[in-house]
Parts: sequence; structure tokens; C-alpha cells
Amino acid sequence: MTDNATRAQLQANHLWDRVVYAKKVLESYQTQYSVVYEDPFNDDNVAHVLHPDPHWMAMAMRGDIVPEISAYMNMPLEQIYERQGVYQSITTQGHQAAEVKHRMKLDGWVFQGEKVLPTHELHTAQTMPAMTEEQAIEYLIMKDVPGQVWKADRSNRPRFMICRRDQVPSDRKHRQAWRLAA
Amino acid sequence: MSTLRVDNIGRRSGDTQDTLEGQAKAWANWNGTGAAALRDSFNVSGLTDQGTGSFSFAFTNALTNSNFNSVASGGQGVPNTIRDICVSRVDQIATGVRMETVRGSNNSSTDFLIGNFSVMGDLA
Repeated sequence: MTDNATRAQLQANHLWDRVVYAKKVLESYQTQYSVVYEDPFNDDNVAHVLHPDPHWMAMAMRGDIVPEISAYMNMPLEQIYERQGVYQSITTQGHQAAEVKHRMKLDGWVFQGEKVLPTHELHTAQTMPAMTEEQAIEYLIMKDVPGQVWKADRSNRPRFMICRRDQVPSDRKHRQAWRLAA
Repeated sequence: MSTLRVDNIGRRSGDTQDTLEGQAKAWANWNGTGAAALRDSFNVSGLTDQGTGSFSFAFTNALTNSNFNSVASGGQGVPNTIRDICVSRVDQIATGVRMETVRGSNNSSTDFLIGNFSVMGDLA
């Protein structure tokens, strides 16, 4: 691909090739935003902070590189669990995978591994057009933050907050006490 | 003796996966102190700071399964300081990996100035 590859050229390539292309030709972009969220599977856990990758931000803002979010949200996964010598296979999708894993762990099942089923659409989904910085953060939340955190029907209060990076404490002395303010 | 100087290596047939077998599919170098940050990376969409010495990374292009190889290292970047460091992979799924940075001598989670990992496996 040339440095000014067109949408059609990018769309015709494997996601991996688009990532390689982006690393080669795009300047990284350090966003001013971070996302602070609660651990949806353990209310007592410390606040998590998502820092977007500067190369990924550049890809999202360039457009035509990252796939539509549905490619991640609907990614089919087969998970294998074991309990007392009994194995169980569960087919799940996107963010459900983390929820299933948590529930199975509570039931005493040990996670053995997972695989992405060949019906995934990472390489065939339409690519996203250029996003603004804010749109890219919203996309990344849907991709990398558990759905239980941001789906409106899962909680009666906000469980995440988009903040400026300089609002995240730089002193980690009390890191294990960080909580999302009510 | 001849010297090969090329920009791309590929098969005459086959797909990306054939060409890339054995290469690192994701890597990152991060700062685990202060407000954590990625210095540089490849095929990583973000770093999630999950507490002292606990960091997870999500892949842009997922791997085909969770049975990939991951290697990691870390340190404080200063000679003759902490040497009993350990960066351990504590969880890996097809879409990402979680690392913990600890002091080997007392098994305590510690934030390091420099953390690195790379992942080898098959792409989804």
C-alpha cells in the first residue's frame, strides 16, 4: 500500500496489514483523555484506568483502518473450562466472554483457554471512517471496557468517567485506594 | 556472497498468516509509574492500569486463541538499583494479556519505570 492508500485499498486488506501500514506511515497521537472505570466483577477492587495507545488513536483518527465496532462486539469465542476432570465448552460473543469467565470461576470452573471462531469479522467488516478524538475514545470504551460497565441497562449509576489525562493522579503511593468518585 | 536487501518478504501464494508465522504479533513498552503510559507499541489499542503493578493490554487484531507465547521484562532503568524484578503474565485471552510487575524477593507488586512484553502466536 502507498502512503496515501485509499479506503478501497485499505478495506481490501487484512486488519493486520492495515495495522502494519498505520505503524509505518502515521504519526502517533497522544490523546488528552483517559477512562476511569470500576471493576464490574468486584466492587471492592480499585479503579481501573484505560490509557489509549497513541498509535491506535492515530489509526482511529486517520480512518479506514479499524473495523466497525461490531467486529469486536460480536466476536465469536469458544471457551473451555475444567472442573474436577470434567471439561465444558461454551460459545460466547464479545464482552459476554468476560462475564461468562467470571460466572464460571464463581462456580468453580477453571478457565483452560479460548479461541476465536472463524466466523469473526475482524478482516471483513467495513472500516470506520475518520473519527474525532472524542469519537475514538467512545469507540475504544466499547472495545476495551467491559460491557457491564458502560451498558445503560447494567447499572443504576455511572460506573465510568472520561477524564483528562492530567486529572489522573501521578502519585501512585496510594494506588490501591483509587476509587471512582460518586 | 550476495546480500538481500528488500522491503517486503512474502509468499507467492498463501495469506498473511503464512508469511508472519513466528513473528511477534504484539508488543509494548510502557511506563508503570505516575499516570501509566505506553511509550511505544504495536497491535495494542490501550493500556489499562488495574492497580499497583497490574496492567492489561488489549490487541487491535486478536490472536486466534489464548495459547500464545508471551514474554516480558522490566526494570527501573537505573543501574545498581532494584534487581529482583519479575514481570509475570497472569492472564491471557485471545484479545489481550495482563501483566503483573513484582519484586521477586518479597513477591510484592511494584510499579516499574520500564515494562516490556511481546507476544508470539497466530492471528485471528
